[in-house]
Amino acid sequence: MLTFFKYRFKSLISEKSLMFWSLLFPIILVSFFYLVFSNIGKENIFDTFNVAIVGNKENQLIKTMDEVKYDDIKTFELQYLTKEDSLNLLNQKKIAGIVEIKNNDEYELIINDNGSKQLILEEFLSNYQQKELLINDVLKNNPELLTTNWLETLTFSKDNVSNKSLSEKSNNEMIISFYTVIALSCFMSSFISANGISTIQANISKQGARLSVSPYHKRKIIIIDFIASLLIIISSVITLLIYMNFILKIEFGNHLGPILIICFVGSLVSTAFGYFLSLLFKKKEGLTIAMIIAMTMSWSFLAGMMGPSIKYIIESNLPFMKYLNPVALITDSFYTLYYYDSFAMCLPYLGALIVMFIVFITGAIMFLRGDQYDSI
Amino acid sequence: MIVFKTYYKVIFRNKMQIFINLFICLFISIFFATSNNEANSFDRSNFKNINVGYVYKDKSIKNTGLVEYLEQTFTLKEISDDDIKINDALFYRSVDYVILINADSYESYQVPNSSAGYIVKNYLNNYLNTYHSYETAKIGGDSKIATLTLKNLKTTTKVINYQSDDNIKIKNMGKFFNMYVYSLLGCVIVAISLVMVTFNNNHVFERTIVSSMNVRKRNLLIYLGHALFGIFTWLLMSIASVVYFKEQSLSIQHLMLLINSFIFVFPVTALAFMISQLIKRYTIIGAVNNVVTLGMSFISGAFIPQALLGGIVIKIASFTPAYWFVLNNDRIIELSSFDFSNLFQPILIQIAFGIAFIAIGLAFAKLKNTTTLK
Amino acid sequence: MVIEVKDLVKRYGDLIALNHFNLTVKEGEILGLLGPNGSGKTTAINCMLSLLKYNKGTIKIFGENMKPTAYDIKEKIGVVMQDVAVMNDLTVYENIDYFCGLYISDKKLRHQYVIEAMNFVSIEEYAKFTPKKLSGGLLRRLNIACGIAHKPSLIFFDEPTVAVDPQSRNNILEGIKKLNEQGATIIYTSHYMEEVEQLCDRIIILDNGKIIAQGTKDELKAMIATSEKITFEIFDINKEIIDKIKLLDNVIDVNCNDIFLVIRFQKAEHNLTTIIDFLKQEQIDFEKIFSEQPTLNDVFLEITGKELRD
Repeated sequence: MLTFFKYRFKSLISEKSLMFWSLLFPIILVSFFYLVFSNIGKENIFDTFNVAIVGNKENQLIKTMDEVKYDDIKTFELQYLTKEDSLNLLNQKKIAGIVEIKNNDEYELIINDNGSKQLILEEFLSNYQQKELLINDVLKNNPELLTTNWLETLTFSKDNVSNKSLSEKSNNEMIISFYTVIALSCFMSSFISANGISTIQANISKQGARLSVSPYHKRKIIIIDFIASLLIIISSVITLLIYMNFILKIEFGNHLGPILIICFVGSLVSTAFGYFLSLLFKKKEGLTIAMIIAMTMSWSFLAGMMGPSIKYIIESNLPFMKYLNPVALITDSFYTLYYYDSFAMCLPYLGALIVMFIVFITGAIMFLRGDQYDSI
Repeated sequence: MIVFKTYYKVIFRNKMQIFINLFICLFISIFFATSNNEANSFDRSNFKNINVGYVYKDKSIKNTGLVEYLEQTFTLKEISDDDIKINDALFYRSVDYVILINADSYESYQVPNSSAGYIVKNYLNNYLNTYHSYETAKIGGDSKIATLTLKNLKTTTKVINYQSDDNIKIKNMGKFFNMYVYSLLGCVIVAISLVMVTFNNNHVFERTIVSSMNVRKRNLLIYLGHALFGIFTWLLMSIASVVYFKEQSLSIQHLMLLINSFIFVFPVTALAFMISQLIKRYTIIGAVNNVVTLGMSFISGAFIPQALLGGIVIKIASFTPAYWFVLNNDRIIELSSFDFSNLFQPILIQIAFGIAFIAIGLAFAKLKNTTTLK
Repeated sequence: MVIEVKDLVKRYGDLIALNHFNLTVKEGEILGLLGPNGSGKTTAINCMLSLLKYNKGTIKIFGENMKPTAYDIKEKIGVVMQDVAVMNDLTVYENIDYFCGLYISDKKLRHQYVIEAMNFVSIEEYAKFTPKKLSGGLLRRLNIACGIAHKPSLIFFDEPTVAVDPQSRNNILEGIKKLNEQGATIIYTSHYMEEVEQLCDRIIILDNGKIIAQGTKDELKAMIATSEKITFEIFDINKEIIDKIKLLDNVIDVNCNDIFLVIRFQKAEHNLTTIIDFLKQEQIDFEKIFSEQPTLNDVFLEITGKELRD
């Protein structure tokens, strides 16, 4: 049995191009992701932006606007223009908005977009008016206060809310996309196992026919082949994890054991899935590969690879769907582990994955039962 | 023309798998482009979609006033003071922000760097700072201060907003066209790889290269096959865009997006042509597709806006045609006049990539033609 | 001269596959390349077709230097490869049409050629079948049709009858003869000497990349000492008798295995009567007698000490 295993293993890894791409793909994608996510969110919404002023620029509001800073960076870059010119610039998106000072010192904000800059402008102006109203209220009720230094003690930039994090980690939800890449790497095993099947089945290849007429029990052959495929993909995933840990310096903390378990279970499912599809579509190798690609891509998308919002849409509308998506189950296992710091909370997902494994492998075995073919 | 004719015969013989792949790519693209709402996250009219969870640890007048103020803008949900429940609420995104309301201090839990976090926090601080100002002014008791604060905060600047619904839909249209990177690459690479397995089979290939058909001619005919398929995929996506965006599809932006995406078909099919020279077996199609399609989609800005990608990523991405395609799409969306001058350079770069890929593909082909085969 | 190969050397690392190989082929000839597996037959053909690079030598076909871009020469060449080279996604008709189409662009003419090719190899009733549904013999016939449909004037057949049943094999050989009668020059490689003997005007025997003998089949047989081989079915013979036989006139060697006594003679008259008389004299009984002319295998055996079919 060991001899057979040795040769099956050798035969699988001799598919050099498959091994190469299976290893390369996760490493490249993870590297890209890493580059993207280590830079995301660094967009500073507090950079200086242009605002046009129409009307009397001696207005106190304008003076305040000119001076306001955030983190020592000037918030507004003011340009004093005519209404026509400023509307032109607004159209060309060269300014975020126009503050028009009317004759009676009232002012309006003119914008044509709803981004962060417009919101900052709007809030600034509203706050200014609110401060004016505050002072009016004080004037009405406690005018002596205005002769003291009370005004100077006023501060509207105090941050009264302290940010906390339940799990002391950056809960950057984009990490979900990152985990789907690891999950997808486990699923590369489907291609490896599908490739292996073609050399076992008599109706697919001559080697398969040779095996079929030998006294070696078919079930033994499948088990050995399964283990060989599994071994290959686990090596590939471990290589990926090593790359992530040592080169990209992503910490796994004390989660290494659980991570390996999740990867192992994921690889089990994907190997069984490859068998299942390959035996379902028999001779049509092209169709098998296309189906594996289609299913894994759909699953990855629904698991949040391209952005987590789809995941939440499914979560709120069709929560059971998650249990039909192995990539989502693997991804959620990782995320749960990361977020809650608890392996126990991953167990429902792992349970569902094992059920899936049983379903696929049972299907595959049933297809194998018929040892005689209509045509080979 | 036999090469071209045979190419399409092989496509039809593989129609099931090509169609499945096409369908999935289109489905993912359309679903993705129409489900994301981050573009509108700073839009005031969407603030009601922000769910804020609060834990009442102290029900003072000040704090009830705070909750009343927040309720006017956001959707508030009271949650129990339980770490696990709070964690769950954020994890499953039933709330975007959680505030713990103590007697005199306030703590928040949020998804960092999210727009919801910034917005809600601003509102919180606005209320608290205004309340504090009235407090220090010693105008009256808690009740009066709360009332004055709420009244004060009702004052807002008059805003004239020229942004129309149209604009928002056009932004979504831009995102939809950005997904062409994923759908075009995904469809074309898988489909043509399936076909090229047949043409690149060792023995068939040998028989082909001993023939009298010029290697360049044969490969260009094969490229023509790829190009036609690419155009067909483009057509399907474009019909989908017209059907989904209805009125906006008559805009100048839509027309320019169609033109830009049509040009993009060229470097995509050329890249597929280059890669397909190397594909001899079905088994590696999946892995190649993943690396090229997903890799390029991520770094080019198809999934995550280019504005959010860091410097290094942009640098690497600029060596791909997809980056220039998405850049142009983003510029088109911002178009306000008929000044198309800044669109030409990315278009020329895309075309240059296409030419380069075809040249490299032909070089591969020539090399295969003359190198030891066994 | 249709083909002129001078001093061809091809190495795979340290292994010399072709060792100063020379070849000339006249128009209208059927040339056989005979040799055991690994002797360099396919390598020689692949070099001539510019599928392989070679280290030394020149190859001229139709008077021009052969290279990968010599498309005008390639137009006149047809190849039937050792391995079946057809596209599994296309039907029989479509396969022949495609490969013929790489040479002939005129649609009408090509259609006619394809029909003729199918008829030639007798697979017309399978025109709509895909290769997966064909038996081994039919696949081989399809393989041939794909190689000759465009009516080339020089055709390379590289072991076309491997794994083919005797009836199909005969059909193939008949077909090749017909092609030659129609004017094609044929290069035929095989390690089945009977085929080569039956078909070829001239034969080249290769071993380890070198030509060890060439000529017509009679010329080759005349090269060797053996001119007759007589086999007896004998049940009882001892070493003493065998040694005595070895001393008889014109005997080259004697072999005894099981029940067969095989004696090879030099060219002489009355070899048969000599040995029969001797056996009678020694009172040795025998059942059957076979007398054979030497085969190409004998030629090969004498020159190299090895069998053609290993």
